[in-house]
Amino acid sequence: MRNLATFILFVLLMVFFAGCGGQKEMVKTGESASSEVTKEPAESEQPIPTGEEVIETSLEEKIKLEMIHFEFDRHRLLSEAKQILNENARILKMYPQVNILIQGHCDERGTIEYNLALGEKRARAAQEYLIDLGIDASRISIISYGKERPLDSRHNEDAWFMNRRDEFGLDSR
Amino acid sequence: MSGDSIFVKRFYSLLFLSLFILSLHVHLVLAQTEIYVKMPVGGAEPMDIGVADLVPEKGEFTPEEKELASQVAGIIRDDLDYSLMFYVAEVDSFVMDVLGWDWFNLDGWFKLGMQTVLTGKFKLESKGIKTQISLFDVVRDKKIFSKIYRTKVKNLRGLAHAISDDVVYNLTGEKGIFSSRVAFASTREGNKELYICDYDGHNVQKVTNDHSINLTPRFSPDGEKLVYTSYKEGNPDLWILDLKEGKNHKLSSQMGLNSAASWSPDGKYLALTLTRDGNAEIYLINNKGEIKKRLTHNWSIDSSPTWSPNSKQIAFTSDRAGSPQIYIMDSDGANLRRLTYQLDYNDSPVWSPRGDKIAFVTRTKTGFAICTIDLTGENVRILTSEGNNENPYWSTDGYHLVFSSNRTGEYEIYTANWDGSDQKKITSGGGNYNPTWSQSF
Repeated sequence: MRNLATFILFVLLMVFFAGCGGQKEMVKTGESASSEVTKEPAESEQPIPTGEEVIETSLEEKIKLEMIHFEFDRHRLLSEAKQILNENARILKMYPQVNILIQGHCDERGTIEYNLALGEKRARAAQEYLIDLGIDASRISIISYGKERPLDSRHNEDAWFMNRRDEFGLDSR
Repeated sequence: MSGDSIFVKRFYSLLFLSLFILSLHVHLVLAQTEIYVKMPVGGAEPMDIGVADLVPEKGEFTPEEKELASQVAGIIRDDLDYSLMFYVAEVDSFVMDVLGWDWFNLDGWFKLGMQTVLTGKFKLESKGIKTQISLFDVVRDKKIFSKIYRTKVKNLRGLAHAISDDVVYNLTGEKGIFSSRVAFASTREGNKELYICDYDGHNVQKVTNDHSINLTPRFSPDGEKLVYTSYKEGNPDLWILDLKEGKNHKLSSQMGLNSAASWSPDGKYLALTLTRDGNAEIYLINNKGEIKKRLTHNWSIDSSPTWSPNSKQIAFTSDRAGSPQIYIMDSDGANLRRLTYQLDYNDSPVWSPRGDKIAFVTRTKTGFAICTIDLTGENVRILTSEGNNENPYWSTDGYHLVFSSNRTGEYEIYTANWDGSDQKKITSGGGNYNPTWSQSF
């Protein structure tokens, strides 16, 4: 949660600096980055032309990349998953400045070590599919959490289906 | 010889039976004086051993001394019973009084059918506990060893375990497992951190504070370090925790997974899973984290390496045949062969320190179970029946296994004998995973 909040703040700041490059230069030279940050609220009180910024500040809202699901002990992309990835690729092409982190996850069955490897295969399967659709490879990172971060902590088929997934997060790294 | 001692036992059972008729008190004693019979290991006949109550060095025990001395003898009896190398006679002071013997009457122990007897004196001093232990061969009427132990009161369990280890060593020539530690990952405080406890679940200590996900701990062969995978810097990297110094450092941070590491028994290398080349493969790294060799080359998952006791071979999991199965290769990657054919999903191999078996996890209709298989591929034995059972690991004597199971609804750590008997839960509170076992310290 804290990471998400930090990331949103980071995105907002990036957008602000990108959109208001001229004003940023007005900050006295010699000031540290952190003091620029602390000045931020005061400066943002000034009315700023909004057109571009309104779109940009809602980046998190705009870029909703749906997760995909897998069969037990498999990493192949199902047709439904491919449709979701097609849509995700379309969105990513609209926002070429955005990088993503694909997180591969597994259900609770099977061992920790094997699921770590399986989760990475799932993340890589989506990564390769997006690259095939023309998304620049440098924009996509992957990580596996194995079975360490279930969305649904129950122990049944519904929960297992929900937990066998790739999530697509915006990459702040 | 063993036939004689069984006869003697039966004789004394009859004696106790006649005493039983005399009073209700004796009935209670009878229940306690039953001699344990357990499945012997590998066909070897367990030894009959008596562990005497510890007596005062001089005069009488204070109430505190009496309590502590009784705890020490109790822990030693539990240890030796657990070892599978002994039948431990439970004889209490009431029996001794009835028979008119004292604990040092070796002839009396002999008549009870014992082959060996441990006796001891106990004293509480200003600095802690002083215990003098002697072990006797009552058949040949000779002292096997005698030793004085001094320790702080808070280390009472450690003292008893050290005595038990000395008994095993002096009688079998093998190192006991009672001063060993079990390490495991636990979410008991939220994040998955690493913890260490004694083999019997006592003395739990938290050893990491990484505020992250810590996985798959393994002890170094000397037991002084843990290697584990942590997400503390984002990527699943390999970390080393020095248990003496209480410090950790990063050993391997290749892009992607750095997981399932396992030290070679000679301590020179670690085998682990890396995905740096685009797929989960097994590599050897040295103790500086430098890659020495890539061992597998297959577009499937290769993971969970485990070493043979002589460091010459490595068993691992691969799904190259369509489902996870266990394979064995030389530790340079040559001479690959598949070990498991019987079950359709086999993972998490661990090589027995005795060299003759591999324990692993199989998927059954009802969940995941701990199994063992001979290196010939024969004698598959399923050891657990309830819940999901994962991550087996052997004690250094090869007679016991530790594993995690959610049979109670929550994941807890259990130990069991090599044949699956005597399954004991050693943690409580849930959220306990991924156990591993050190040698005795």
